[in-house]
Amino acid sequence: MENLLKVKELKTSFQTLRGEVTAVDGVSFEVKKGEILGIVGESGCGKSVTSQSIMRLYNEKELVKYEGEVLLEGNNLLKLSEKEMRSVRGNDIAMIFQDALSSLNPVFTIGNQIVEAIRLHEKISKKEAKKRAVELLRLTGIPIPEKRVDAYPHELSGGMRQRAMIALALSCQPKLLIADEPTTALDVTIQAQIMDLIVELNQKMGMGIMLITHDLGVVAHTCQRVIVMYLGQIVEEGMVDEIFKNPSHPYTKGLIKSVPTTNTDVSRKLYTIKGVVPLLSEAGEGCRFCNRCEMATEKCRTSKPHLYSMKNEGHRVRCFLYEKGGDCHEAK
Amino acid sequence: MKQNKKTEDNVIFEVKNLSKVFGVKKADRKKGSGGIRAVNDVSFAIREKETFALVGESGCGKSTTGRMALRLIEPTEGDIFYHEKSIMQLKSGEMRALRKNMQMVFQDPYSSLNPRKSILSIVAEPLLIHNMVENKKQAEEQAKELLCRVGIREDQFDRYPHEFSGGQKQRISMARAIITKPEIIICDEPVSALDVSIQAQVLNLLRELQEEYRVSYLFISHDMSVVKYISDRVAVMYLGTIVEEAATEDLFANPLHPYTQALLSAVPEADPDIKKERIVLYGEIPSPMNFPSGCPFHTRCAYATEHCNDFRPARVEVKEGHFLACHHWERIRQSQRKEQEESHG
Repeated sequence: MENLLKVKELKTSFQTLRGEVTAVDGVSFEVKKGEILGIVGESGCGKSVTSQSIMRLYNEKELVKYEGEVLLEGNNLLKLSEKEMRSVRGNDIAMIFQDALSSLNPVFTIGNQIVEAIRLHEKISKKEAKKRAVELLRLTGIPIPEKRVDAYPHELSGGMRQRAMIALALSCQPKLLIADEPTTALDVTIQAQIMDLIVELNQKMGMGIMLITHDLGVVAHTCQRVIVMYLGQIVEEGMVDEIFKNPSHPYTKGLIKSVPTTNTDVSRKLYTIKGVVPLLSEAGEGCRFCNRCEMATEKCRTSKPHLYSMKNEGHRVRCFLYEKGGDCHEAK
Repeated sequence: MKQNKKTEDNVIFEVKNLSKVFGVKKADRKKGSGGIRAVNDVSFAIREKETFALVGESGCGKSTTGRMALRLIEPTEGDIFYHEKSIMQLKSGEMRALRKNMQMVFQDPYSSLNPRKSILSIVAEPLLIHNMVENKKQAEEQAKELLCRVGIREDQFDRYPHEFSGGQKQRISMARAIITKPEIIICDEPVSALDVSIQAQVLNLLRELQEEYRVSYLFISHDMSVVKYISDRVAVMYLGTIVEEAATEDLFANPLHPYTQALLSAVPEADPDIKKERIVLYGEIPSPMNFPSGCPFHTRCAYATEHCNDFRPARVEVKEGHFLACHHWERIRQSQRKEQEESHG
């Protein structure tokens, strides 16, 4: 498949009172056309900063410094002027957020907001844009869209609001949709509906989707490929089946083992990763996971591991265990 | 850890026909508004050293039920028994004295610890309030011991809540709850605000403390996988009512209520090998403001008939310890068995 988005050595640093903090540190990955890529990690791992850096949503005058390249079909977004960037946002790349209530404007109707988005990027009449808004709402499964188009965000339930936000994101047929924890605030039965909708739209419209989540369950059932992040770096990347059946990085292994599933043996203790995620400023010279890792050696504390390629294509792991060409000689 | 099935008789806590209607003012009642029916005729019993889970989606009344159990919210109807004695008539002073036996751990550790107190005094405070020690020094001794037990380092005892991570705060909340040696702790979504790797640590701690202190938990959660792991018995709530209740293994292996079946099928599991036929529920939970007549689930149920519109199903014991509120469970089970047989050829 063709690459839609290619991120090369992206580095996002923030100016804070305690000095510069590099929240995303040398992240490289691709999103192919029509694929759903999952990005998982715990809070503070940099998954959201990565996505917001792609959209360049931070204040570049004072707060943030980007390095590296973000190539959307070969075009480096980090080099664009603010005006050019504005025509990319919403048009080529759209984003949906966790909390639909605070992401939608409370003083405008759903229809108004979709019409605004369409007319910002395309020259069509209000009437036509509204017609398209109704169609979009219908596409996302909102019942009686002709009526709901005139509803304000607070008049809709959580699930319906999320559908409305998806409709808004799809209004200009983006090539890439970034979904940042789109179902975290929803109940499981509603989450199932929304994830089904996202997968269905992905198949229908063929856009690439970056799904950012902390929920391994959601990833296991919707994504084709997945990236695991820890403290601003990619620690493992691969196909979903590969990552779940043959997790290789000690962090990925621990993460998967510590989530109870309905198959978990309840008579045993849950596996835990010892300790907590350290602050970015506390990350040492070596591997960022070494203080919590059961396999850590002296080398891990002093030098930085790279992403090493494993046997299966596209499977990469940032751990010295796999330094020698991926043949894993360590017992699993 | 789950072998305490023979303690049938040791019921320490029981609620009967508990209901809560919010916002019924006299004026509203005249206008004919029924108020918000948050909890509707809920009964269950918790035995010694048992984890009893209430699961359901947001707005199903599980937290309200948990709070009513401690009379933090006064029930509109129903009765609560602690060691077979009703606690509904107790005055607030008597109730407060009783609360040393019934503690609570909340979902949000950020807002449930006093930000202006050191964690040592937070954990020692219950002992002083309930006069369980002679002086402050003794209280702090015990608090120190317990904080060490839940995994807080000694040099951190004088720090304030904001200096700790979410998981640590939840450990401190656990220590505060267990220091009075309660018989029951009500845990309201204790791990849902935590990251997955931390969630596992806190779940293990909950289990260890249960062994050591012989405490029962009323565990309120929306996460089916967590509930499966931690609890002995489960009650599934929908729109203020318990629709199904059974031993955990039984419930997960043989869910009988159509809502339980849909709920279980919707859980995304962190294992691509678990392939489930997903039952998609159409529509959304009705508002408790206009409580549906008859069975509360009939508006979304694929098996609903006219009968379900008109009559509320009674709670029946379909086999030992497995309770159900559904008119058509036998018909549903038969048709599902038939489908299964057909699909297996």
